[in-house]
Amino acid sequence: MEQFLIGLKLMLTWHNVMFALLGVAVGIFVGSIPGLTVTMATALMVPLTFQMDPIPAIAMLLGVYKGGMFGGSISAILINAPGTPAASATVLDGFPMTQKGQALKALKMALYASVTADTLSDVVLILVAPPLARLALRFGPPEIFSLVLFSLTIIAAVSGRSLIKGLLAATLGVLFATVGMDPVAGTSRFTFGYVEMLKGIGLLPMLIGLFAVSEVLIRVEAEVKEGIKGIFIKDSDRPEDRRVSWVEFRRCLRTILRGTALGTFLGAIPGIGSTITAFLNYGMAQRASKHPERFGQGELEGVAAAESGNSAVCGATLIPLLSLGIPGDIVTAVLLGAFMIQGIAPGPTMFQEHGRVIYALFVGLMVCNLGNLLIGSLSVRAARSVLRIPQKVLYPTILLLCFVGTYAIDNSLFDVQAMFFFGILGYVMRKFDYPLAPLLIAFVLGPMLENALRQALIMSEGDIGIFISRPISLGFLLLTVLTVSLIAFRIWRRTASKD
Amino acid sequence: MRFNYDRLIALILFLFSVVLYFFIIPWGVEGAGEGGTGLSPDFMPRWIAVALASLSLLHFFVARGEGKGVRLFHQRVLISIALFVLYIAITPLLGYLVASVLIMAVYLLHFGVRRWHTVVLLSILFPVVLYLFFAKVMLVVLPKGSLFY
Repeated sequence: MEQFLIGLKLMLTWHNVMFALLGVAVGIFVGSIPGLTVTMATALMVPLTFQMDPIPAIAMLLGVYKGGMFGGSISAILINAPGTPAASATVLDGFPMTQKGQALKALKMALYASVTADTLSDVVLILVAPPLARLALRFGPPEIFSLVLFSLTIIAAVSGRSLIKGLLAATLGVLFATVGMDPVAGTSRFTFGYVEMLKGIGLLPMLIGLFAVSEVLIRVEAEVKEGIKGIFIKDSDRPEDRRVSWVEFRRCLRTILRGTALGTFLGAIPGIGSTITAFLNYGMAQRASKHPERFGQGELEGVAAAESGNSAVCGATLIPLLSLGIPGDIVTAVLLGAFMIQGIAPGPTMFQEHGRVIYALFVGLMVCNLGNLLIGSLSVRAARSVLRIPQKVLYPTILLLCFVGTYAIDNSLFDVQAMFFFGILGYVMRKFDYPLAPLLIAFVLGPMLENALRQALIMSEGDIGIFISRPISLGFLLLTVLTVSLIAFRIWRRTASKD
Repeated sequence: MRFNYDRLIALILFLFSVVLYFFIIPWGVEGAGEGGTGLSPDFMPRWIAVALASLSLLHFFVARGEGKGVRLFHQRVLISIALFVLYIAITPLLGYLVASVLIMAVYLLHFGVRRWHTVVLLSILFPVVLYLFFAKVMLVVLPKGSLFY
């Protein structure tokens, strides 16, 4: 409690609050533009935080994350194109509402559902993370190895349609992580005489390439095939179509709370993203509704279901990141990188060494939620002009930003080259349906995995029995085997029934 | 029957893992084989190569090539890539600002902006704003260009 008050004092300065709000505004803006994702926004914002103190830097990035979650729903509702993948489920009822002239009503519902679910999820984070971190402090190398292996397997298994493709991507990620200086022996690996390679492949160049550049390339191509959709928005003059009444909010509250519970629970498991939760909650709301046939025709509750489902994930994904040091999705992987740049390693020790920072961030989360409500309300009206930025202007802008942003990380053109290499790799992987998330997260967790494995083997003098003789480690390994076999079995049954 | 791209990729990955194990690791890892289990720097890379080999073999036999018929590198994508490579190449010569203005203009034309005053305005304005932000606010030293100095 005392720490919480210190955190309150640390966070609530004009300077910090301003940066948090700036983050929210950028998030909403970027999230609302189809073609710019939250991931891209956070990746491109990280280079800007280098010169900042840890608290405003991380608060701003969290703001981008939260703002982007809501921002994605703006274009989903107005032009039937989700600004972020997580808002895909919002399209189902959001756009039909726009066609009925209820665009403003839908946007407001999306905002209220987002902020409510997000805030409740943050409360769970604040309550759960510290005790979990205390437990994790007792983990030794064997436990850490098994835990990382378990998390990686889940991420690989759920992020694509194919288990093997996910695992292949993850393996490549771990391989990329070995480039550079060997952490135990201090010798060089895969540097091939380049001094620049000695520090390893940078997380940010990889990230900006994999997500921002490949996205532009994919979209440039898709546009040739499909053409650009026109923008058409109807706006009713009746006041009841332009606002959400208290009665309507109360009617949707049950759905929002269900979304919160679902999102918080699933968000805490690494690898389950907000897109899945949004659709799951949408489905559950439809099943529980007295009028399931109205879903998809412009039902207010449908918007609430999708938006509460995806926003509740925001707080929960921070649980494994802060307490275990394991990022559950791409945005948290970016946050992990941002923490590292500030000299803070997320994980159980962070609560002891940087307790104040953590509690300041908890306060920061709440500031961002309030900011989201405030700026979100303002942006609902301004939203339509944002959507007029044509894609053909957007793409060169993004590419230039990728170039400068990557260069600025280390004043290095080598990083820019690496970034572009990953851009092309990301493009090819996407084309052939290989998921990118396992590659990135495996890359981030690779060093942790390797260190834990080698330290454990040094402890046991080369005996791999150490991983199964310790109960927590054995538990994680069994869970890993169980998940893989379950998923493999499901896939096998699905393909067998097709033949 | 459609061509099974996944099998081809599996094959490429398998060959890569073999080359990785027998050639790249002994050549690229300094101090390979020294220090015993767990201590040797090539311990992890070798396991990765083995994992990659087994996964790609499995992929080869299981893959059903359900992915849509894929045509890689559409002409517009190729030009976008080539332009970026050019951007990286000319920046050390011309400096950030000149290179960016040029590339931005070409990109705008390539993506189909036809009004010339839009092209001129945007391709000067945006790089300059970026320059001011990064060089003056963030104090990043952007490439100056060797041709002029």
